Amino acid sequence: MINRSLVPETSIPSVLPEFSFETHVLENGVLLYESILEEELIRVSFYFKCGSLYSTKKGVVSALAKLLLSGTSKLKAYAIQEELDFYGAYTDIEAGYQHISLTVFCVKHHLEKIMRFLTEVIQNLQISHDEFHIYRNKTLENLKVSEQKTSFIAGRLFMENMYGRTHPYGRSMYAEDYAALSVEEVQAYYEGAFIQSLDHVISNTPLPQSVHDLLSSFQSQTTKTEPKASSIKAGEKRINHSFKDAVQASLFLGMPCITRHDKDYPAWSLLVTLFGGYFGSRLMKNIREDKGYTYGIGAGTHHLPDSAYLSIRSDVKNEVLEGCIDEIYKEIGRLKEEAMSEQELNTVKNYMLGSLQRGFDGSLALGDRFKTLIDQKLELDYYYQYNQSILSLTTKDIQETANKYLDINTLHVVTVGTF
Amino acid sequence: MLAFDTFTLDNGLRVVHHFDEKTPLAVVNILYNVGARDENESLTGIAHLFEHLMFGGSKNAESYDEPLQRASGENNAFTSNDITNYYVTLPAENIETALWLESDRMFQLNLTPKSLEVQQGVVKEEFKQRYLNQPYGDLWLLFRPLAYTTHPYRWATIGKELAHIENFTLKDGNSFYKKFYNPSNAVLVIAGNVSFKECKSLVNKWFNDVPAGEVNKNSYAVEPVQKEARRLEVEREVPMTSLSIGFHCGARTDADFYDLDLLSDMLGGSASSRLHQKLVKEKQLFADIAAYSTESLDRGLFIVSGRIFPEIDTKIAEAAIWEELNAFKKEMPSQREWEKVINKKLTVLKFTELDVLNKAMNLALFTHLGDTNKINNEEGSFLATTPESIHTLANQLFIESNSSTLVYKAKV
Repeated sequence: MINRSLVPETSIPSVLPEFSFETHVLENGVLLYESILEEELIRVSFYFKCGSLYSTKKGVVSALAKLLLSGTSKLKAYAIQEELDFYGAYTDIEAGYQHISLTVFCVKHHLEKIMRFLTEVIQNLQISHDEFHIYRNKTLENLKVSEQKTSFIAGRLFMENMYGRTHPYGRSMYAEDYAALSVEEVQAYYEGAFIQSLDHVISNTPLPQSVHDLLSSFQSQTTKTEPKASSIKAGEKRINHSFKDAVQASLFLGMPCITRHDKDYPAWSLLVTLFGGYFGSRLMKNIREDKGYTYGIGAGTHHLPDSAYLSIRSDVKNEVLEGCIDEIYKEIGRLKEEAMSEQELNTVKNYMLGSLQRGFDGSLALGDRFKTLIDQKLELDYYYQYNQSILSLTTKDIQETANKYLDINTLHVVTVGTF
Repeated sequence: MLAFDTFTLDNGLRVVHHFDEKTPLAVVNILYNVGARDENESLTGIAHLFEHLMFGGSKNAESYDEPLQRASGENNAFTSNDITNYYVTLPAENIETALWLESDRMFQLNLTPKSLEVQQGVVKEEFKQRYLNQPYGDLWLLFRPLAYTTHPYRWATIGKELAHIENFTLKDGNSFYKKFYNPSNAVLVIAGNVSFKECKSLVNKWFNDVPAGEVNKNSYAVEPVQKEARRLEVEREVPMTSLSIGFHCGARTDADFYDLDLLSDMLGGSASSRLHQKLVKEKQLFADIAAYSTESLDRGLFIVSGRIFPEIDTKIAEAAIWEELNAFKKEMPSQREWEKVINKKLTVLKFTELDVLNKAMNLALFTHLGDTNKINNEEGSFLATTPESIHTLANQLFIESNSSTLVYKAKV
């Protein structure tokens, strides 16, 4: 019999692999970032600098993203989808604040054909009334489904309330906004903004010269200054939204917070992880594992192009909603009043360093981290510095950070439920 | 080609090892041969509730999660109708922590009144969050008992009702643990940057003294062949009526599984698939539609399910689905259509090979299904299908008397 009470020794993963990316500046100024790892499964992401920050009318950018492969003067949507499927390609198009991104996954063997085809399609988009009509109806119905979720309503109210309903981060789509959206506006945005906005491309593996040439064929005039999101016009501190027959209440608390550019960010990040960022967090231990009020509760930092905010979210039993908010405040109080134990500090540190290591495992994960560096305008050594900073943090640092930045009076609180 | 080695301990624990030197990580995946199909109909949802209890600590590890987090690891688990699967990812050099924790909870779990009470609360909130407080959340809770009359697949893993979760006692927990959580009833996979030699010595060290226990020899009530079409209509506060049609089909291990998988891709697997193209794009009857199979270990279901635009008559939408199914039965798919779904599948297979956790889970599943080697035959099995074989299968499946239809009506 072995002695099971002897806990195995462990070590901390302190070394991160290097970013093995090569940067190519193409003739048209497009930046191509290629991982040097050889892969059979290829992921290429195109970033067009024409996200919602660049548009004054809400809904245009997300409509364009959804309709980007919907047809050209020569090809109908079906023919495009059929061709991409035939070569085994998967595409994903996202509308963000900064970019519209188009990501394609395929096997190496079909890469060139797919890239040639995609280039042809996205350089010649012609949105038909029919495709626009289908998009609008589907999206509208799906919005109605989302609006039946307490968590969706809570998230929407939170952003509207914290940033204001006209702010790019606070504006959301309602049914009437879809009625006010036209195919001409979307097509005009494509022609006026999208077509010349290819900014950079990230690939998880080296791409052949023929693909470099294709990427060089895009117009790229992205030197224009980036629009700044207007300042925050914070609304009510507390919103209770009544929802008919909700089985649970959704809870959303949050406040603006520091970004990765702040010297205190590593300590902030550890503080948020300790508070609600992993399974063993204070909030999970208290509200799920001790009280059984919820299936899950979490806190996290969300990064926006020029700012960030802290969120605390959960779906809880209606009848314990207020008790749950009190417990969240109590946990914030504890973070400020008591220093955490060395043991807990080490647990959080080790957990975070493990997450970071997993976040660097393989060419796809590396590409994701690289994207963060570009989106948030960070230096190439950012993660290595961050890693070192986490290692050196003390319990005193964390308590000081809690006192410096956490204030329950600045929290915006949204609850959605049947009260 | 996924290279692996296997060995079995004296207590019956089957072990699979896969070496991947490209990652600094290791994955420890344990599959227990127990799922919701092993439950009694008067006490359902307990395999899943028990999964929660497995995180309550064991004799030598007061907490399961904390030591793992200290070892920079992350873990989770899921329960299906067939199996319960636990997985850990951590730095390869810390693998021993995962083996210590997993062996200790397999050997001597702490089942306490407090842990049971809290997890009953958590699972009840999970039930509400995922099944009751979501539009269409209870669709599968309704569909399973419509399609199955006899087999335990007639209830969902979350259970038939909240009361079953409340009624589960510590005594029930102890006998469930004793019956199913045994090395002889489990598959352990170690994948990642751990050598075979190290894997063998560490697995021996931590698992050898766990008593063999029982093997799950449960047999399951056989679902009688369906003789006539079934139908259920319910009304709910949802914006769109949802229509689901299910057909009894083969099991995951049956020879026609790969035909079935490609059949679902042809019908509803992508934007250019038949149902999407005809019913969403051309006829504009559905806002979305999908086709898939449940991939279960006993005979499963092939599902076609979509949400109908509010102004469309449900009967017209339903007839349009049948029109596509009948068209499939009538005319064999073209070589090009076959090639298209094959190419999509090959991309997916390459994708799953990239991730060490994915590889570990698949190794555990194939071992549990009876032959680990078959993980390397997947591509060949897809390529061995033909337009004819898929066409034949469609003709066996899409028969009205083999169908169950759930109309989940939007209240007007």
